Amino acid sequence: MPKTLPIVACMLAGLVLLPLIALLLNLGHWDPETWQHLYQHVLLDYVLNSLGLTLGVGLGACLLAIPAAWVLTQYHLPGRRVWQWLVLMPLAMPAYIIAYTYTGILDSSGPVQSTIQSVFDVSVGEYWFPNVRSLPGAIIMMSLVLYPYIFVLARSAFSEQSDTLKEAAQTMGYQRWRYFFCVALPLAKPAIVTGAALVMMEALADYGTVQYFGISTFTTGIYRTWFGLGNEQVAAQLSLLLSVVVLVVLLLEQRSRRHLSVATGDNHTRRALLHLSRSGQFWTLVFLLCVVSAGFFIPVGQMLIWIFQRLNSQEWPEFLSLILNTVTLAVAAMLVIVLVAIIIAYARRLSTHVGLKLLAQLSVMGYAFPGTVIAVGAMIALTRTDYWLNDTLGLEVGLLLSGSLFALVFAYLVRFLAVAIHNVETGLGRVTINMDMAAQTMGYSPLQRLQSVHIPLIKGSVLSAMLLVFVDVLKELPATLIMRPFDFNTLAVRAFELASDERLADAALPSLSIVVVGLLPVILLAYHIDKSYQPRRTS
Amino acid sequence: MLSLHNVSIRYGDFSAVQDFSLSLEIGEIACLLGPSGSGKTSLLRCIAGFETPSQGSIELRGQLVANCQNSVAPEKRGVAVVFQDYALFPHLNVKDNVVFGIRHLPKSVQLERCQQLLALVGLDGTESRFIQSLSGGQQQRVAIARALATEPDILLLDEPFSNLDAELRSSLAVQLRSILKQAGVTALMVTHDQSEAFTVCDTVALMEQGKLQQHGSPESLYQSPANLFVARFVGQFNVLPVASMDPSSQSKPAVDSGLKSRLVQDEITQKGGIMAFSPHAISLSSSMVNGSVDSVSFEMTIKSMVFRGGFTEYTLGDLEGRALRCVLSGSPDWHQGEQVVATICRKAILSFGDDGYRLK
Repeated sequence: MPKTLPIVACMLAGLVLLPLIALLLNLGHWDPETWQHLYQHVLLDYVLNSLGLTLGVGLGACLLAIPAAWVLTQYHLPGRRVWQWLVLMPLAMPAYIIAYTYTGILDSSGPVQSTIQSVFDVSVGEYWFPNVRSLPGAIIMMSLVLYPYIFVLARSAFSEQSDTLKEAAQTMGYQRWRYFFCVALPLAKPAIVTGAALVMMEALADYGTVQYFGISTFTTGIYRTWFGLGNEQVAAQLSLLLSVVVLVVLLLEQRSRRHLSVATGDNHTRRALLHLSRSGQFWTLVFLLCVVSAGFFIPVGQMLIWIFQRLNSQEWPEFLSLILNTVTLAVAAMLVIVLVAIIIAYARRLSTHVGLKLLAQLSVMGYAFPGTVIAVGAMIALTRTDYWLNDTLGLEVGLLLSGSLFALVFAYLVRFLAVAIHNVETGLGRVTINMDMAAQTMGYSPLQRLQSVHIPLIKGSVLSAMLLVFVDVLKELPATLIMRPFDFNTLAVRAFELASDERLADAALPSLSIVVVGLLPVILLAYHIDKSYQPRRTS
Repeated sequence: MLSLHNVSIRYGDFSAVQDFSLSLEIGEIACLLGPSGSGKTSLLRCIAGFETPSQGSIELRGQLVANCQNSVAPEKRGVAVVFQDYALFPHLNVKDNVVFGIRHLPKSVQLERCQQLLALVGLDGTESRFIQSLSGGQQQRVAIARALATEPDILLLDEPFSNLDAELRSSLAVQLRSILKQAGVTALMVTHDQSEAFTVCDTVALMEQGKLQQHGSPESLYQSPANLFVARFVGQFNVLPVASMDPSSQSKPAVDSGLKSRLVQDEITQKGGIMAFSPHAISLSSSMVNGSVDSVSFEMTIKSMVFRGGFTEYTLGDLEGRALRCVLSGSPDWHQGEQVVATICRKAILSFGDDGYRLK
């Protein structure tokens, strides 16, 4: 292994930390006037709305995910395996897209209210109808697409619970519901809390939904402070404040995981699934159908209707250039991010240096920070670098870094490096140190080992890292909005812009494209779950 | 074939192996036996070339391969390693795993050797199967075949049975010995399990805390342990400090008069020391057998007993807190709480000095 690898890895990990450092450095510039303004007018709104949204979405997603995970692990249901795939599909739906789709559906001129108006012969304003563009609306929208995070973890927690536990509880008189609340749920709690923490972090990071619904939260506040008030420093300080909230969520999650107990027998045999009564089965299926329809099929159907309505007036050349822009950007970011991930993962595997380990550990923190925060940090870091370049080198290159696609790719790197490293390290974990040594005793040079052992074994993980990063980049809205070069549009940005201009029907085509591509990792995930949780046959 | 001269291995301040010397004949199957943390795996990795000794030297076929300055790379030593987790390649089938180390040979030779080796390990016809579809025992044998394919001068095996079910281990240990003997390879195996060591190996090197305690055939280790550690580890010997039997002590002498006179002349009683004897050397009776000069007796109570099928294990204790483990063949003849006299044949008692070393 080249000696330079750990050094390169350290430099890359350090680079990834720059936005955070840039934010921290901004703490020194205190601007009492703007803060006074924020404090008097909006800060309380930011805090209350962000907290309400976060807790609401965490709770809402739990209410959808836990029952779904429980029934799909415990009971015999018609089409059980298909349902296990279907309940994951809302994961492909970005929150901002479902938000404006439902706005269109539930609008006063949308299909639902039109029906009410014609059936009851009333006109707008003469009857009560919930307003989807509200905080509860945002909570419902985000819960509908974020619950799969909790579902996946709760599902594996429930299905890993040994059947002997259930039998033991049964002998002590704990039947179904009591068993669920007294044994199964507490045991699955660490997994559920982890899932809920992920969901809450996504809720805190959301920009598209709350901006579209006109709810003032931290993310919209940061955007407004920077682009509305033009105050970079306060935007950075607000970003830090939001980061603190995120870190609190993370910390709570860590704490809950500390109590993670090993309550599963190691060679448990899975008993046959339980049978539900006919009515029980009916209501269970109704529940699952509602969740999946509301989170995926209804919005997709509405988008299809919009697309067909506008089939003749679509601006195809514009759409094609959008696709080209988006794919180019996503592929470039994907290659850069996965390459960096591979370098850091290898350095971490080969080196025992404490500093390197720490840097690498810190470099994956980006996933926790909202895209808006990272964009603000990256923007500040890159503009400073640009100024420095222009000043010291005397070059008149303008905004070389901050005004180009480089900035965007850099922000994506910070945000999605964790996803890539996690996947690459999973693959690298399959190559044990002993395999390396075995190959070495048989005369394989490092390069030959790479070729005949490492590449074949980590290929799959690297490909899935690439897929996940590709899709994440494709869906990412706030960072792209802030960092994109002037006049550079992606599918996500364009969909959001069109929806914000109330051109919902026109936004459907780019939105649906994002959803369709977003299904790829969902299928990959569903496939993995399906494979790993097939009932094991005892040999 | 292999000689280690005063090898020491250090990791920073921690000394894993100290002053270790050992030599193996061609075709010898030897074992590094010892409790976990005794340094046996460090030594194995050092022989393989993954570690460098901090002192001493290692020779293979009379050639120096490692000392504290120079170390020949693992691939140039002519060693092959069977790893604890086997380190088989999950993306390759059985045949490709076996021929992995002989890729430079013509295809026909590779195939022929692969077939020979799979026949040797009893896995004929599994060439195209993937590793995950094999059982643990089969995977172990593929790992052995892969290691033997390179025709190594010495085969190193690191805890080869640790990944297997307890029931499989003993039968696989017998198989392993016959495979290694048929292949005629010199082998060094690391294990913490004495019965595995005794089943597979010609000689056993017992290690503790980085030091060699004794190297010899299993029988010699059992019958004439060099020190108390060996006696305890290999034979589960009972150990009693002799001072507690001193006739002048206040406590009620539990040793019969005949022995006392013998012990007085003994070196142990003069210097103080420790006596040790196998749990199998004890016989139990209901009353003191008088007049025997060739035996030692203790009055004891049966504390607990476990019937193990062919034999019964008793734990005996007395008021002074001495405890003995005793194994008698057949089903239990005594009951818990019963007073018995434990008699040990004088010839079965080994004497050790206070330093733990055998007095002779």
